[in-house]
Amino acid sequence: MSNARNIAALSTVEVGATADQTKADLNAIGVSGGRKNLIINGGFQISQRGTYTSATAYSGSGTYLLDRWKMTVTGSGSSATLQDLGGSVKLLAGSTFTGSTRAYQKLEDKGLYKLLSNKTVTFSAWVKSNTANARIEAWINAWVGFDQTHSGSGEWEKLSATYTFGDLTGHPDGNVNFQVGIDGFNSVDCAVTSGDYVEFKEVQLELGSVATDFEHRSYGEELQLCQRYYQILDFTRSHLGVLHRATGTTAGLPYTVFSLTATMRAYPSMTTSGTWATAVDQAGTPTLYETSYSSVTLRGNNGSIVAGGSQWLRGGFCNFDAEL
Amino acid sequence: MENQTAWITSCKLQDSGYLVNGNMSVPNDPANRHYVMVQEWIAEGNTPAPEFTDAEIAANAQAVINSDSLAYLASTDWYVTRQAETGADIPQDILTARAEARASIV
Repeated sequence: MSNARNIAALSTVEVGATADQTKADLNAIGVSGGRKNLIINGGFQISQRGTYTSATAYSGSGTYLLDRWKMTVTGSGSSATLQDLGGSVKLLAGSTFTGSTRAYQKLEDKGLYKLLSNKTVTFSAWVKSNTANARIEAWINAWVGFDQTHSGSGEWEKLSATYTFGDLTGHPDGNVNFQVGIDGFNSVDCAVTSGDYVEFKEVQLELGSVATDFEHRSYGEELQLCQRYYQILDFTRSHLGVLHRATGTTAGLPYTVFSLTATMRAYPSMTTSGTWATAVDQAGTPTLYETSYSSVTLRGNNGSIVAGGSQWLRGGFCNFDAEL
Repeated sequence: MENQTAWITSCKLQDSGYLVNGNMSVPNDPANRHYVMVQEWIAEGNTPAPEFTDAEIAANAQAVINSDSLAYLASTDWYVTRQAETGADIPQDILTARAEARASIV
């Protein structure tokens, strides 16, 4: 549909059409204001956990690779890989099995469910696949019956589906999620053949009944949105962290509070990576002693130091996870 | 349904949560997905290990003794220096305490 045609329609709206028609026309030409895409990292710009430009295997039902997207592959003998192709991602079946492989994003409540209750939304994505089982899906406490599949032509096709929520009050975080993958209708297991793939990009969830153009956000904006769920404190440079042992205490392990980059959804888990320096003045691999949504207390792990003393914290990364 | 706790191979109590697989600190927060999985793991009949083993508790206690003793020796070294420079005696109680401190360091 060309913009010119819709602009012409708008002039008709001005002389007597309904407000709903006006909104639909505005949506159709992509001029809806504000932050319209409720999917985070729908353009697959952010990948804090690693680089997946080479095919990366995932298994089971709980692997986060690119930010905010949880990967799943189910079925006896199933295997699959993800590859970041720069703006799109590709899921590739590595074996033949009966089941599914999908990428899905769980929505956080925090007012969003209130926003969405009793509202109509449209979920859309550009999808390329060699199987007609490639589809977009949604789970809102149950599979919602989207039946939008790719033709299997190997060409890019835009899939979209519209859904009207009921009252989401009381739904827990993550009980609403949107998915792209190879799967049967309502996630009934389907036949997946080794070599089947689904590639997708520009994944969007927006209010209204029309799939509008994808909302592009800057890398910095998208990263900040992702950091609510996953973020990294980098101590690989030499003098970024010092842990202290308070004066007036006994000897013991040193601690320090660090501010997180963004307020996190939940108290985060922490894993460490990299090689941490261990010497008399260096604290070794830290552990998470205490946490809030916005700050963490790290504790050294290289033996007791005297009260009033301190040690450098250097060499690795602290990775904080508050994903759904 | 797939077992959501199979990835947990070890779990120890930690100051404000758990240390899972020796590398993941999991806070006490029901909104944290790893905490939920640890609770499921416990519900399956598993028990987190104490934060420190007896050997680690002993080692930690000794580390405190070592540190305190070294600090005491450092704080009384001036007696030794004074004796060397002026000939003034080191009080017997200080000598005794320094000997005990040296002996306690392992």
